[in-house]
Amino acid sequence: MRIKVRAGLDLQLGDRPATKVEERKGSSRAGLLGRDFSGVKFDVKVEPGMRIQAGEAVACDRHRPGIMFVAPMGGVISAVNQGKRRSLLSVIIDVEQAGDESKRFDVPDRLHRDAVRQLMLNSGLWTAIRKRPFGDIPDSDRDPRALLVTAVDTDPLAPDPIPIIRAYAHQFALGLEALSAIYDGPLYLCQPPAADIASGSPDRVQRVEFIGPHPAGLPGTHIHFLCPIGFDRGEVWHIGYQDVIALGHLLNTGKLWLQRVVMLAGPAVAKPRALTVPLAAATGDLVRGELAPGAVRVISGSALSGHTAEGAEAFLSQRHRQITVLPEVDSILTEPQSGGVCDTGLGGNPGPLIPVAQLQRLSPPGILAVPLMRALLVNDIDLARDLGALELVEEDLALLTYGCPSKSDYGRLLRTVLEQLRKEMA
Amino acid sequence: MSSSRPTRGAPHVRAATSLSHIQKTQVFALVPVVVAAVLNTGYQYLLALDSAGDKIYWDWSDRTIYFFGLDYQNPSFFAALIAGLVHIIPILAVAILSAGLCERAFSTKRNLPMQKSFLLSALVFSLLMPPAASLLHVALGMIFAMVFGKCVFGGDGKTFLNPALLGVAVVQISFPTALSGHPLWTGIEGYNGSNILSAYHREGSAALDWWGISWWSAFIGTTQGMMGTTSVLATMLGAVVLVWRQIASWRLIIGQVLGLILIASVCNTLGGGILDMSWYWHLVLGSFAFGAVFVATDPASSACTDTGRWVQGAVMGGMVVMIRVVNESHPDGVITALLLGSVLAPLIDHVVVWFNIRQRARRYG
Repeated sequence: MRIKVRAGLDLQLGDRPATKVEERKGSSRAGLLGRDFSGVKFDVKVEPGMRIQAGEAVACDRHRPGIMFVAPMGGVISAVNQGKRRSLLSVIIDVEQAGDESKRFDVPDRLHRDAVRQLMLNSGLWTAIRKRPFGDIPDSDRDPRALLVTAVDTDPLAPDPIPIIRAYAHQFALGLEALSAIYDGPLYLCQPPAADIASGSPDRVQRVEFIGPHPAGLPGTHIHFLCPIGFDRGEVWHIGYQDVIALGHLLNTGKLWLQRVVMLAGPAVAKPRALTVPLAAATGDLVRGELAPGAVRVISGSALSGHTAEGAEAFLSQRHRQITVLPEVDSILTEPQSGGVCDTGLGGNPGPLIPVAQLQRLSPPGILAVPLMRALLVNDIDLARDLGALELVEEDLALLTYGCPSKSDYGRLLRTVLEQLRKEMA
Repeated sequence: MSSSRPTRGAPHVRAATSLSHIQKTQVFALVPVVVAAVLNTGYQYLLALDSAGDKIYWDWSDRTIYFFGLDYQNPSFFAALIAGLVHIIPILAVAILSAGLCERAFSTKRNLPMQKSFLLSALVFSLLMPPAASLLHVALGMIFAMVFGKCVFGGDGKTFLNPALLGVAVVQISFPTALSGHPLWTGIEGYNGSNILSAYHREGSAALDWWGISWWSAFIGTTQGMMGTTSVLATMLGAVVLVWRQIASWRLIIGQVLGLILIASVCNTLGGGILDMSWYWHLVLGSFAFGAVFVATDPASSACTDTGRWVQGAVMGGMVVMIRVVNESHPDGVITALLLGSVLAPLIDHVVVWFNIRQRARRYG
C-alpha cells in the first residue's frame, strides 16, 4: 500500500548528509530524561553515589509499578534532578569504563505474548512504545487496535532510516517478529517508498509506504490514514525503528543495545554527519569540536519537536534520532530576517490569529487547521476533541506553530486540552 | 519597531510571518494598483478636460493642474501623473487622517499600542472611491469603518468584516448619488462621465461602443471607474503576490470567478438587456476584480476552511452578477455582494466544521 501526503512543508535547514553507521563518538555521561515520558509520575529507586549497571531499573511508574525505566549506561549515579512540583527532570550517570556492558536478561525460548511483554517491561523497552490518544506509555495488559512501526522520518535533517535498518537487518526482523507476538491485531510497517526492509519478517506485517513532505513521517499522520481513533474507541500503539532494532538485539544477545544512530546537523554544525553514539549520551560531549563559532542552541531532536539540551536536560532523548544545532538569536534588537528560518528567532511579534491561506497546508492531514487552532486557543475541549485532537500530540502541530503569525504555541495548548480530556476519560 | 525574540521551546524555528509581515505584503501587492490608479485617473481627467473644453467649472484641483502648465490636449505621462496625484492624494490623506484619529482614540482609551493596519484599510478604501468623491464622505465612511468595523471588535484579526468594505458600503448606502453620480468618474464637475455598467443598463451593449471601450482597454484599465478598480491587469499582478505568499486563498479568488461565470451564463440563456452581458465582460467591468483579490480575501473576515473558501467565493461571484442584472440602482453590485459573502463566512465555516465532525464520527464508528 502506498499513501501520498500532499500538504505539508519540508523546512530547509541546510545539507542533510547521507546516513552512515560506521563513525562512532563516545560520551562520559548519560541521562535518563523525565520529559521523554509525558504523564508519568516516577518512583525513583536510586540515589546519587549508587553504582548501577546498564539495564538495571532506575525508576518505575508510581501508578503502574510494572513499567520500569532502566539505566541507559552503567556507572555511578551523579545526580537526580527534580523540576517543578517534584517532577523528575533527569537521572544522570557518570559512565564507567565497563559502562557499555549491559545486564543480561532471560530471553524466552518461544516468542509468545506474555513472555515478550514481560521481557520488554523488565528491560525498559516497553517504555519505547507510545499510544494514541495522549502519546504516553500504554498499559502492559491492554491490546491496541493496531501497532505501527515508524520507519520513515521526515523531520528536518533527520537521518534516513533505510541505511540504519539495512545495517541491522537481522535485529530489525527479529524485533518485528517479537512485536507480532505481543498481540493479534494488525501490525503496520510505515516506511519510505521502494525499500525492501521487511524481508524475513512475519507475514502479518503490512508494509505501508508514505511519501510526501513532513508530516508524512509522523505517527499521527500514519494513524490518521491507517486506523483513526476517537473518544472511547480504543488506542493505537506506535514504536520507532531503532527501538525495534533494540528489541531484536535484546532477543538475540540477551543484552540491551546501548547505541543509537543519530544525525548531527544544522546550520551551526561545522561538519554535519551521522554518528553512532551511546544511548542517552550527554549532548555536550557529542557536539564538542563540531560547532561553528557564535552562540548556538543545541537541540535533542528536530528543530520542530526537539527539546533544548541544556542544564539538567543536556542529554540525547531516547526517542530522538538527531541532534540539531541552530544559531541562537541572543539580541532582542535584531531585525527579523525575512524568509530566514535558520535561527531560533520568533520571526515577528505575537499577535492575533490571522487565518492566512498557508495554515491549512501546514495542518496534519484530515484536520481543519483554523477551527482546531481557535478551539485550542479558547480551550474548547469538546470542539477540539470533535475536530480530532485525540489523534494528535505536540509534534503534529509543530508546523502550525511554525507558520502561524500569532506565534502561539499550539503544541502546549493541545497538551493542556489533552490533559483535561484524559481526566474526563478516566 | 519589530524585534526578534528567541523561541523558548519546540518548535525552535519559526517562519518570519507576523501581522506586520502580512500587512506589508498586502500593501506591496497594492503597488501596481496604486500606480495604475494614479495614471488612469489623470489620463481620464485630461481626456475629459480636452473634450469638455470651456464648459467646465474650475475647481481647486483644476487650478492646481493649470498651475503646472500641463498641456491637456496632448496628454503626456507626466501630465497624467500630476493630474492623478492631485485627485488621489487628498482622498488618501483624509482617509488616513480620519482612520488614524479613530485608531489613536481607541488605543489611548484602551492603553494599547496603536495598530498600523489602518493605513492598509485607508488605502483600500481610497482606491474604492471615485476620483471626485467628496472629502466629507471619505471622512465619514472611514470613521464609521474604523469604529464599527474594527475598533469595537478589538482590532486586527477580530473583525468580521473588512473595515474598508464596510466603509465603502456605508457611503454607498447613505449617499447613493455620491458613489454613482455621473460627474464623479473623471473628477470634473459638469462633465458627463458615466459608470459603464449603468450605461449598459440603459443602452445595452451599444454603450460599450459609444464609450469606445474594448475588452482590452477594460482589462488594462483605461476606462472610467472607481480609482483603483479599473485595471484588471494591475489587480492580477497583486493577486499573484498575495497567492504566492499564501496570504490570500486562491480557492476564494477562483471560486468567485467560477461563481460569476456560472450565474452570468445562466443570465445569458434568459437573455435581454444587461442579462446578455457575457461573463468575460463582467470580469473586467466595474470593481469585481479588485474586490475579489483585495477585499474579499481579507484573511480575518473570509472563510477559514478550504471548502468554505470555495463556497464563499462562489456565493460572492454569483451575487455580483445577480445584483448587477437585477438592481439598476447598484450598477456595480460588488460591494453589496462582498458584504453579504463576508457575513455568510462564519455560517459557511460552521457547516464545513459540522460535516468534518460527522465524517470523523463515521470513520470511527
